Amino acid sequence: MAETTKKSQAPKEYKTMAIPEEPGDDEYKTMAIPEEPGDERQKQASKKAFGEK
Amino acid sequence: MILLAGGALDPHLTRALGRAEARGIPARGLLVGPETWPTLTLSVPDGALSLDGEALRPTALWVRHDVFAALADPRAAVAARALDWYDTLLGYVALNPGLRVLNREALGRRVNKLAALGLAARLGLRVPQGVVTNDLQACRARENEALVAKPLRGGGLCVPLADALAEQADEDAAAPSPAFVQERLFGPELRVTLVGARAFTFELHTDALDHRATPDAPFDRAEDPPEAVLSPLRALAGALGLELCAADLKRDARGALVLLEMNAQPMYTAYDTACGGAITDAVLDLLGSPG
Repeated sequence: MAETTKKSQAPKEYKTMAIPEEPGDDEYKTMAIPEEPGDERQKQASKKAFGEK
Repeated sequence: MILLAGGALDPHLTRALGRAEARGIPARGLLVGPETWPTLTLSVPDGALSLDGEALRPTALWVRHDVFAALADPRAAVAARALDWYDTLLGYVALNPGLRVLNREALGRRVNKLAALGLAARLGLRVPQGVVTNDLQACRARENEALVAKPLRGGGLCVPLADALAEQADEDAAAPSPAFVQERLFGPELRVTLVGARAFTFELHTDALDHRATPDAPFDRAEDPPEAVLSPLRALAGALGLELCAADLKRDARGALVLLEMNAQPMYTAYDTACGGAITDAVLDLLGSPG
């Protein structure tokens, strides 16, 4: 039963994320690198300057 | 009562709540955690707010879009939840036009980096000289020059142009995305956090092109930039609707200060700690001012 519930919820989340209502809606994804010294999470920065195929 | 809204893991909000309590400033948190969140009802269109069953009528609001929860838990649902709460609070702001809201005019507004740099230049600030391009052939012809590349929308590090080119396929003439390609600038980097009329300037010591590559880089409190720079920085903040923001500056080959960017939701806890919580106190003072 628990497994069924998980599967039924996943597509809803996917749909929420996959259809931006306007340009810039997914800007928050690029905000995930705090620009502050001392924060280990900054190491997550890895986006290529010229993008990826 | 001041309402501080955002992520439960956002140290800027939690330390502001702690400091408000220490100073006797009435404050309340609306904090969304990884596994817990408050019960909220916002009446539409009158804008009345109920939080955990209690009607709230704050005198001022500071809302921050939570990025910390998604850092702790990368599931898409977590980032979506943060956006849901932020959007709800933006709606609360819109339905309460008389409420004192920090950075009210800038909330929810996406500022194009090129537009901000153009505005900064028109206000008299020096900005990096360069281009935005995906022309790999033209860039390869200049890869031995003192140039750097960085993503147009942020999110990645500033790197030497040659390094950015090495990430692209040799046979490609055009890259998938345009990027900033601009003059290489020099440290130490200045971080100027503006809180209303106050400025808190720190100098960051690192040999890295991008200080985020060296998260343990030391920093010191520094003199504020000269008025010829500080004044247009304030003008830029005003034009962008920012009462709380932070400017990043480096120097060109001749030593002139160059604005890299203006951050609308600055991260400053390390600097705040270094100056004894003065930035947090200034934010609380600003929230208590008429605006």
